[in-house]
Amino acid sequence: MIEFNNVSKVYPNGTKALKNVDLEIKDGEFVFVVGASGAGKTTLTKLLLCEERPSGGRIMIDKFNLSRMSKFKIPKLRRTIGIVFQDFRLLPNMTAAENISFAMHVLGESKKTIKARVANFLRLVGLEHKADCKPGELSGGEKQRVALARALVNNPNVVIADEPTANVDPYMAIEIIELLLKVNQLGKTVIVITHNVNLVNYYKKRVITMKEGQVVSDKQGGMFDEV
Amino acid sequence: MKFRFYNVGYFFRLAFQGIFRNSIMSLTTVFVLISTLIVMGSTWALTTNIEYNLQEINTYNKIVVFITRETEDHTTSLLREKIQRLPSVESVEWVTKDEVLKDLAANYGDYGDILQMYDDDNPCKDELIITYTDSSRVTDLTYQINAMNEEEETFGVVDKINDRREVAEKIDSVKNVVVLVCTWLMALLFVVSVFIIMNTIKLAVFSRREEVSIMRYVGASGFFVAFPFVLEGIILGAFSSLTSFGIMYYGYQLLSKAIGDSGLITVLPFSSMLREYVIFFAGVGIGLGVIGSLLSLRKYNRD
Ligand SMILES: Nc1ncnc2c1ncn2[C@@H]1O[C@H](COP(=O)(O)OP(=O)(O)O)[C@@H](O)[C@H]1O
Ligand SMILES: [Mg+2]
Repeated sequence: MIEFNNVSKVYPNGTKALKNVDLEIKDGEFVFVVGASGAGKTTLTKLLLCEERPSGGRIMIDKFNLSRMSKFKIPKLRRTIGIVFQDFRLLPNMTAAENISFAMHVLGESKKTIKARVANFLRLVGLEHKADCKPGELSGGEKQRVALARALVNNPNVVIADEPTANVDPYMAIEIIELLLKVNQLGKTVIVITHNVNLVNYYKKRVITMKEGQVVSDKQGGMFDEV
Repeated sequence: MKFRFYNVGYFFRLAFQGIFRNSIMSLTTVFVLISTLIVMGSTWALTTNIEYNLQEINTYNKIVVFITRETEDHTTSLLREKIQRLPSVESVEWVTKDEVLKDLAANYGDYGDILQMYDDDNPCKDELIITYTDSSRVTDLTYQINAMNEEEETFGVVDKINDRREVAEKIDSVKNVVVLVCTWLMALLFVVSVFIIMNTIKLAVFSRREEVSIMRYVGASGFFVAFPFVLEGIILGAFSSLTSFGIMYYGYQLLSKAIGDSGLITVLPFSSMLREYVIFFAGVGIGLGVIGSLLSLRKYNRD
């Protein structure tokens, strides 16, 4: 369960990125977050990862109170969240498999566990045959699927994808959303930030629309608001 | 995070990668660390040796009164009794000029024979060697002995008074200057070392910023993220310790041989300080490595 209570965020330079945001996302939900560039969507992600702290209000993720959590607990929080970025952020000198295993390795998992899980997740995203390719040898869609596997491999409760389809072709965009739906069916909460009107309208999921730092609409089975 | 043995290998691999990737910075760091350690080591060697030689001088704890030539023995004896009665005088030994000459001859070893030609006309003087109990009274003692030289029955008996305290004080003040200069130099080098290590580690973090950022997103512990960098500092420090220890060791042997041969002062053997040196070099080298790398990670660990 994710809860935003009257949350605001003012950056040090004075930009008011979020204004009095109230939100509730239940365990196992699938939500789209839409809105124009600069609406505050990425700021929302940063707050969830505790990369930024709220300037006001309260954010809860399960038992974590992000507004006043000690910085030493941040790694613990992040292990419950998988994150996928628009620009993939794969390590260029590692293969697809190594990029995924790296995420497990740095949490101190055993080699045996790593090997088994990496193979599983490569299969889940349909890239077993590209295990030994470096990111430079992969297409945008393939890179994003490696990134998704990496986000999932440590078994987080929540998966956040910040514009995961922005740098991939339309066919691949659908495939990535389908993968995220599959992940949602596995019981994880999935938050997808996107600009893609067609995708949002097609899937008829919960849609949260943001504008100038505020939530302007929040509808089940929603459509992309043309406001 | 569970401890896994293969992670140790991983930490070392990353640390060495960091060192070789920025080899110029690493070399600079090692160079500065070695300079720091050698200045510290030399200061220590120097003060230890000075201290030792001072102690040797101090153990003499003696004032030598040279007796004017042609003084009658009973006058010398009278002076001796007078001195004996002074407070803080433990004993007064009378060494005749013949004995002094014999001692000299013995000290000169093979050249001693040359002194044989003085046999008939001994250039030495009788000496009264005073052992005192309280070194702070030396000035008083010499003053009182000089006063006796003005008294009627022992008038003009004292030719010269020699106390070694002056030498000791001179060496001591030289030592103090050496210590002062070296302390400042060390302090300066300390600051420079920490600063250089900080920058080296900062550069190492920068060249691995992508990995570090992923590690932090997936929730790697602060230890897991930071330790390879601290280890890099430790390795640089340990390598510098080892190298400067080697340089110190050989440099000391060479110098002590050169100085020892001149026979002027006693040079302590390096082995007498070996254990302290090992602890000291390892401690300071590795300590500087840890401090520098922790300081450079401090800012970045804040959020
Ligand atoms: N680190 C930052 N410092 C200052 N202003 C920022 C920072 N990050 C984002 N902003 C500003 O906050 C607002 C919201 O940004 P963001 O959350 O990235 O929007 P979105 O992801 O919806 O495009 C924008 O006006 C942006 O310029
Ligand atoms: Mg954004």
